[in-house]
Amino acid sequence: MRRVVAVCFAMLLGACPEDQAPAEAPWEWQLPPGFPEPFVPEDDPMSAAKVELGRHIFYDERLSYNETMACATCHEQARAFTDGKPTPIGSTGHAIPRNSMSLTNVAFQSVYTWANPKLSTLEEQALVPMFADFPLELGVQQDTDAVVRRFADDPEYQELFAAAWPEDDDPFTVERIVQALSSFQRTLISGDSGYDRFIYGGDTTAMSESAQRGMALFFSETGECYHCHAGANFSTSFRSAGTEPGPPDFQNNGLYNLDESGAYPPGNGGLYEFTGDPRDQGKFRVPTLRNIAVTAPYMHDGSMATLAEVIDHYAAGGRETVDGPFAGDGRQNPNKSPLVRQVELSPQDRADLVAFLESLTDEAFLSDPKFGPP
Amino acid sequence: MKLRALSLLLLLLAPACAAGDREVTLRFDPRFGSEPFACGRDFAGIGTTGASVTPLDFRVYVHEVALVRAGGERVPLVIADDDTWQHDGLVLLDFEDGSGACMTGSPGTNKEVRGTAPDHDDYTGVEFIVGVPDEQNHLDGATAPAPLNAQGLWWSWAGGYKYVRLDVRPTTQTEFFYHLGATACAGDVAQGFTCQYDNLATVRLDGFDPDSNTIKVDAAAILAGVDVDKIPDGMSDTLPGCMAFPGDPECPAMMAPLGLRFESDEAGAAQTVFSVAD
Ligand code: HEC
Ligand code: HEC
Repeated sequence: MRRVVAVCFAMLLGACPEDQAPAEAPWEWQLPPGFPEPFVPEDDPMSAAKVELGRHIFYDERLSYNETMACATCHEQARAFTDGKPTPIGSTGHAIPRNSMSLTNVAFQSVYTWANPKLSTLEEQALVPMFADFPLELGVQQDTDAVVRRFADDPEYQELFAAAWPEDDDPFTVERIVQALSSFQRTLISGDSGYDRFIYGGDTTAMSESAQRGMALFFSETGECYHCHAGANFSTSFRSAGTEPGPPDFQNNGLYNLDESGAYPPGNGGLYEFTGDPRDQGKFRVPTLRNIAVTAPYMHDGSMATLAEVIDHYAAGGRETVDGPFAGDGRQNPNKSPLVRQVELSPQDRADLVAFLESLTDEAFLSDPKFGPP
Repeated sequence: MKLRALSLLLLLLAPACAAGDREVTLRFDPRFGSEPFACGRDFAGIGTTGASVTPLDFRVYVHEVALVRAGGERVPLVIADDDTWQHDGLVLLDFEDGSGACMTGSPGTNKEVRGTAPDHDDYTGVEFIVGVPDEQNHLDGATAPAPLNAQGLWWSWAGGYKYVRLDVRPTTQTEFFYHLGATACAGDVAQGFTCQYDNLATVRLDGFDPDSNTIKVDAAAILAGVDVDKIPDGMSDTLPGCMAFPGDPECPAMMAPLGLRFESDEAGAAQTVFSVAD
């Protein structure tokens, strides 16, 4: 049915080309070298108009019920779409237990958030900050109709929605908002770091000597980092238009060990929160390392302040917490991956690894106005 | 081909059978103990400490509704789709009207299940399942039809729906939650899930005449075994109430009233939330 309509429309266009507004040009990805086309769900195709609308909504505090918070509040461009806090606070004051995630290359993830095996598209993910009750983030559910009406009543948004869905009688729906946000987020592609210019651009000055040594360590059997932080996006979670995602991968890197079964702090058990299987305690999706130098603090709970601290953690084969409620030896966590194990790293090695991680910063991405506020 | 012919025949026959059907309306009566449930007022004597609470939300999904005849025969109620509360055998009972502290944005309420059943004169019981059937329990973006479009029941992090939502505000903290749904699920939103713990409660009430009786739904019974005033310490308990998380300490006492066991497939003791009233 839909195809028939499209064909008729095309014929109409052919009949009177000069008085028809030019149809929007098909979406073209501008991908950095080494990047495949991202996966895009069939029912939410890319278009420039949707991306533009999504960018407006992403930065608009009116998306939260009490108009205090936008997606961008916790996802700031200059910090690669993180917020610089260990963990954020929602619009009504609830403490969110996990660190705000980077949205760098988020289109390429196969599952979303720190440890949720169930969210496999950006469309599904967006419903969480919009509608979750506890912790509550944007709180749209407090009056969904009223929130949607804010957009429907705004002349600028009337134009943006109409441009994005010219055929809709009423495009002002949660579904359309979610689709626009997702289209915008799929454009957040970063692949112009010093590392990329060194590897793909042949620019031998793009990485310092130290960063180059750090890179060798990162990809070596000493560092072992590359097993988990793998591929174009430095994560085992990966999906593109051409690749079916494998089963989601979750790993425990030895941050905590509260009891003999390897428990993590309550409410932050990672995959365990979904499966209830104690062997899944502390297992999290492998995060991307792109732009990692600007996304401190680190880990699912923001419990590491610096990259140097992260490297020390891996060199020790895990973290020991000496006292307090989370005391325990993460190095002995029974669920920890065997790839995270004590390794001899000199101070120079450690500085080199940090320099390598710093070479993954893409300055253009952090300041490109097309990702910034409208 | 044969099948199609058969269903055509059935369709033709249907009006003939329908003559023997009648409309049935099951009426639900939400309460806090002896008091009628309402947003915007306080209820005392709640939970193990006899606390005072203000309701924030109270909604329940039911499906597979049937009447039971004196001889024990189960007669499914054919649910009429109404584009708001009833669809495909699933019914949303919405007891809150969006007023007072019930910030749900949904002023409408529904305290009925409407359907048709053969016109027998010996219906003496009613049966239904609390929750959303597995096939429908995957949160399809924002496109699912009513009554699955009730945003307050979207269990977004779990990819499904809350089957029962009963949130209250005690005097010690801003919220105490009850979100019941399926847990320990595998699958994805697009294909659907299979869940180890369905947490679907089958309720059977005897001594029920659909014409004269109503079905009491007691919110106080769900809260009877917990201390709603207790503020979670962040270690042994990370949130006030039960959201069916693994290890969530309030869950056993909040699932038992529906005849369920937390993190188990086995039936629990008899349910205490629903009862027959005149
Ligand atoms: C209150 C702060 C906050 C707000 C507001 C917020 N987020 Fe997030 N975001 C987070 C946190 C925290 C996480 C990690 C959540 C988790 O693991 O449970 C996250 C994770 C994500 C992810 C997953 C990234 C990945 O790599 O898997 C995406 C995508 C995302 N947010 C998009 C959005 C969008 C779109 C909005 C607006 C509708 C939004 N966020 C609003 C804090 C926030
Ligand atoms: C077994 C898989 C695995 C290995 C090996 C591994 N990582 Fe990780 N890495 C993870 C996981 C999983 C997380 C998130 C853990 C958490 O938050 O609980 C993580 C987190 C990080 C973070 C913080 C990311 C953020 O956004 O907060 C950095 C930086 C990092 N790893 C760097 C490295 C380096 C450098 C190495 C090699 C020395 C390495 N990783 C080896 C799995 C691994």
